[in-house]
Amino acid sequence: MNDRLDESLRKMAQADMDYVPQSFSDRIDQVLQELPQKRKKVFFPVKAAGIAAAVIGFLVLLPNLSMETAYAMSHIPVIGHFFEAVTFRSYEEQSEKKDITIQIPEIIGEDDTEGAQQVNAQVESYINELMQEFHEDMQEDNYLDVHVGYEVVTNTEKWFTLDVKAEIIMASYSNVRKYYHIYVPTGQVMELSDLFLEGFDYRQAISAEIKEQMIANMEKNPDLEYWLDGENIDEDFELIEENHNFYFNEDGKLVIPFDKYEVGPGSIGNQEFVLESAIIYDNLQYQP
Amino acid sequence: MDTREWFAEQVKQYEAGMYRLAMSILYHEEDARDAAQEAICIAYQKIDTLRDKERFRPWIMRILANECYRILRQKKRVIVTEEWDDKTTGIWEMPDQGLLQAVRMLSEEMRAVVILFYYEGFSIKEIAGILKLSEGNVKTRLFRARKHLKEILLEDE
Repeated sequence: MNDRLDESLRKMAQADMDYVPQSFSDRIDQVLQELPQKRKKVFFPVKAAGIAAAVIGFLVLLPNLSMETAYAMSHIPVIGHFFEAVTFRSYEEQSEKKDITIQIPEIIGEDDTEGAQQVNAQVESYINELMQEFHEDMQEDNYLDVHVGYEVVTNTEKWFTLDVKAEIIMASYSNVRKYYHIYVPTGQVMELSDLFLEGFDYRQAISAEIKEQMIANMEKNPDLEYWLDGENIDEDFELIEENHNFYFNEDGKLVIPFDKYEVGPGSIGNQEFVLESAIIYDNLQYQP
Repeated sequence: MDTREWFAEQVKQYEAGMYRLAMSILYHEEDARDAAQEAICIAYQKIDTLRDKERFRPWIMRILANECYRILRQKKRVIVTEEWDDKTTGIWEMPDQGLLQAVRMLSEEMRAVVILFYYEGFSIKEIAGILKLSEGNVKTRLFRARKHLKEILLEDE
């Protein structure tokens, strides 16, 4: 009997199978149109940004700034024993629809500058890559705010960490972070995978603690939601990347940041987890 | 065809189904549009995690259902639970024919199951995955929904 009923219900469903209100369809079209090209870190939803010609101009402008200009514009904001960050090049453009500020940092070291040079090259290529991708997404005549800047988040006897921040404000706000580290005693560039003693499964240990913190945070705050159900959800948080972003905070604690959409819906924005587990610190090869 | 074009093509293909699912859970046109927008953004961001591209439809439907439930939870927290009645607070525009008219009269827990079963043709197991319910729970809801639909449709005759 169910079969017969099911069959007639399916037949009835055919009558309005294609029904979609225009307002819904229009919104879908708009969102799809504004999706950026696929990249490692996606800014979105892109409320079709800026003026293409202006960005081409700015891509050309950046490398043309002279060293003198760059240093004249730079401030020396960082107190440090060995390394400091200065603004090597910058670009600004303000108009009715646009507000663009780009600051490309350079790390200067007193002694061994090999690590600094490596980071400088990485930072420059990263920012160029961002700009290139950004340019590809540009469509004419829309509002656009872009701010690329930097901050030294750790500057101790042992660690120098530079946070390169890209804020893109179009239809929504996105804030993409990338951290660069120099281990000061040796001047070496460091990534997360370099930090721990061999054989220690740091990805598993860190991810386990992050999951515990997520559960505790959600219990405390019902408005907070992480992707953590573990019920066949491909997008659920499982494991941090091999060289996930990190930094040491002023208390010497390891902090793991996540960009928007990495571990939860857009409404929760960027997230950070300060790690506490003794096992993680016991297995650190390079102490904070 | 690059990823972006492929993705857009898939979404457009399943647009009507996404609308029905979002409305069945949210019963509110504007909320359904917001849920779809966020689901598309999330899906695009996470597209690399979709291992089997043939499974795009259940995958995006699950992301959409998650997003709808998130919006619903937020709304229910704002509106006192006893006063919550989506049929009086929401709006669902639709043509004057077809099964949707009857589906609209069901409660939220039955609507999504009916939409996914009769319109989208998903199996009980797939529906359980999309709505994060047990298969037994899906069957129960479907059983109840059949009974109600039959009553509603007989009344109309």
